[in-house]
Amino acid sequence: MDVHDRVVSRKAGLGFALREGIPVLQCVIVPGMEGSFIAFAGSAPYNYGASAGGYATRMRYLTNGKEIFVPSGGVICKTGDAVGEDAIFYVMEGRVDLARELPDGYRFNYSVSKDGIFGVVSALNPGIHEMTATAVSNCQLYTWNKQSFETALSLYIEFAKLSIQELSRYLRAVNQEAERVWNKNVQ
Amino acid sequence: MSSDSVNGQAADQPDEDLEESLLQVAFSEIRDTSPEIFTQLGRSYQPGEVLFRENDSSKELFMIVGGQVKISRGEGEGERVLATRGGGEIMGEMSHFDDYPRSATATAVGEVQVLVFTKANFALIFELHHKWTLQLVQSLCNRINFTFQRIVKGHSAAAEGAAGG
Repeated sequence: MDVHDRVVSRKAGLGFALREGIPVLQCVIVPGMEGSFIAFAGSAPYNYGASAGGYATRMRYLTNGKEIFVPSGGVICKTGDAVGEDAIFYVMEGRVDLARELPDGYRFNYSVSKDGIFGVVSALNPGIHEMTATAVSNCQLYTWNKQSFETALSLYIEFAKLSIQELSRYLRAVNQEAERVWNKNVQ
Repeated sequence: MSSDSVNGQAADQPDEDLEESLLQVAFSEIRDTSPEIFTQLGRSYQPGEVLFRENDSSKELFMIVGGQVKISRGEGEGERVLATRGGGEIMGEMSHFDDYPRSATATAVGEVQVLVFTKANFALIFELHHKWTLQLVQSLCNRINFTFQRIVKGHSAAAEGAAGG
């Protein structure tokens, strides 16, 4: 589902969030994604708000960025899009599918869920997004630009480990796909 | 396996000398690696020696100080060389951080010198200087990007093959 059909204004977005039980501290539109979806940003440093499961404690590395909300079906970035300013995402809640339609019609998929990170490769190798990222459930994300991400990496060892673990997992998936394609083409 | 392994300290209790070496590593460039650092963290490998083998459960992370290392999968006639790594490059990071078995075999091409980090002493370096974190993240991103381009090329070739025949 295209989020254009569901959330078209701040007012409608606010209603959507309230219906879904999503905490709303501040309502913003994600820069560069105007018209795509409405985002909800928290500004309190800790214990930022209630969710269906009660209060959540904000990880200390979630700083110098922005919290956004993407409803299920919302497209966060598309293959071929230019990489914008805030291109690195941490999944606070929900699940995001990364997919790429390849020239022979094969679809490469990779999934990122709670505490996962995506967008780092595009942000550090600027150009275009290689993958289309789509929320497959209602998602609360935290987004950084490259500089803020590097600052968080340098300050918080647990965030550094988390990032490297996620990249290692992604590299394994990419390696497996490369191996599969190589074997297929050899046969 | 290694001909010159000298890092025999308990992984979770680095002694003062080892901590001093880690400090030096954290605040120096790889090309400046001193004999003292190498004494604490270094290993040397002869041509053909294996640093780690596909599917084994070792978790050490390697930084190449000198020489070249072949990264391959499979054995014998089924061996496929994936890459060659050289000075300043990091190897073994995936198993170090995600605890899965090695995805490939690393073999010394010529004489090779590496710094070897256990989980415990690499965590200490992380705390000492963030440039290592950034270097590692950049290295992983470069490999993902490189491999992804190979995937795209592979699927393009498959599409052209299907169209041609």
